Amino acid sequence: MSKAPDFGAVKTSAELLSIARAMELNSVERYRELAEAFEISCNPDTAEAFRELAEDEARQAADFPVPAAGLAQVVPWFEEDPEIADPGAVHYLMHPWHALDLGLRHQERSLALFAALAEQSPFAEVKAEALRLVERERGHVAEITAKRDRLPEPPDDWEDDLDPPNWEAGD
Amino acid sequence: MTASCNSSTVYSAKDFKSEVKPVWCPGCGDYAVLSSITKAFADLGLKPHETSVVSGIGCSSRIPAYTNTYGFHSIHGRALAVGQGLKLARPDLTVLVAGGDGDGFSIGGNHFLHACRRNVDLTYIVMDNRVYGMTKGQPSPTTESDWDASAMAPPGGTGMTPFHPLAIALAAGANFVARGFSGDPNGTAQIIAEAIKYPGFSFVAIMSPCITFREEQREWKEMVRPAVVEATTDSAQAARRLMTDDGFNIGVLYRGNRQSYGKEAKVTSTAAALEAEFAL
Repeated sequence: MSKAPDFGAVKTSAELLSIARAMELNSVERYRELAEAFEISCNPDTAEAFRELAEDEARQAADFPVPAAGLAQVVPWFEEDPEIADPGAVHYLMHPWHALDLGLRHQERSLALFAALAEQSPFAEVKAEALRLVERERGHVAEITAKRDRLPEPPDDWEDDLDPPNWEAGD
Repeated sequence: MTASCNSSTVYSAKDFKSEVKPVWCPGCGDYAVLSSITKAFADLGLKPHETSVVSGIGCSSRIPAYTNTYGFHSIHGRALAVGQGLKLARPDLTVLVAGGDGDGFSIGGNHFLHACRRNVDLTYIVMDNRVYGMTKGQPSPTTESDWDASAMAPPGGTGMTPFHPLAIALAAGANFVARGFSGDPNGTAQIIAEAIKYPGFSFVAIMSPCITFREEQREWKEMVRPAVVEATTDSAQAARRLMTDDGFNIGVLYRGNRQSYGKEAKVTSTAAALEAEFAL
């Protein structure tokens, strides 16, 4: 559903920083929402993983200056920020490893966005700011990859529910 | 409503969310619809004390608890009756009625038809997941006729033609007809905002996947597309489009020009005039 990228739509570094900060804040909100959903679904470990992701994103958001009023807060050619969780990508039985893997994919999407801007923006100051953001996102990708890899990988049958909500006849 | 309200405050989408945490399944499309609704309220500059969310029964009908507005979690299938009554009694309120496909089209099917006809100035949002999720997976009026993936469905499916809510809304007289998708929350927020602004009965069907009982609906994200044609004001043209539509075109599909029910009488009514109306 995303539109074709218009790399010229982000015209200043202040605008880019405003968008980047909004992306982080939206991630905080979505991860908190997922943490609450998993708490209610009696999956406290995954809830905790999402809560930690929310805290990480909140710290990352705090690195940015509060933007002046009126500056863009969304990526002009995305329907949704690249860094916020697709609700369809979660499952009630998912493990903390999956939560971090999802977080990693979001960070990678942000990295790809900033890398594309650094390469293709027609504005020098946007290119320069995007390059700084690329470095920053690389750090986040490395950090979250390390966190994920410290966790045990889920077994192949992690989705199997012995008491499934949607039982089949004969179960 | 928990926060204090005043006329000069600008409310954000977050202000329209309550402290009550949703009990929907992780990944349920209804989370995104809730975000779209609160975003639409904020984008329109509405205020919590001037806004009301009314629902029926079902997973999606829990939404009044999750919004920081006036709200009424009403009776199964009767949300539109309550919502219309509220709007007629308090025309100054923005009334949004919300629910699911079972609540709206089966138990509340009759109310749906006549609410479209009556054309009271409110917005009706149906989060359509083509299943009764709260009661564990029975086919709803919009379920495909051959769906039998749940033990709650008859073998081979119900064999009944799915209800076509948008075509029926149009035929019954709804003044604004649109389709949204929960996986496109910003686009859905725009549609909802437009529906609220539009006079008369605005109907927005939002495809909202049930990831627990209809896992295959995760694929909807790859199937939806923006409608390639502009919304029409011609009901015949809208009907042709809707009847040839595969159900995955999203956007505003019809804008009518009917006069809203009761509008001219109520807006100017004074307390004295209302008293006189009810005097024996």
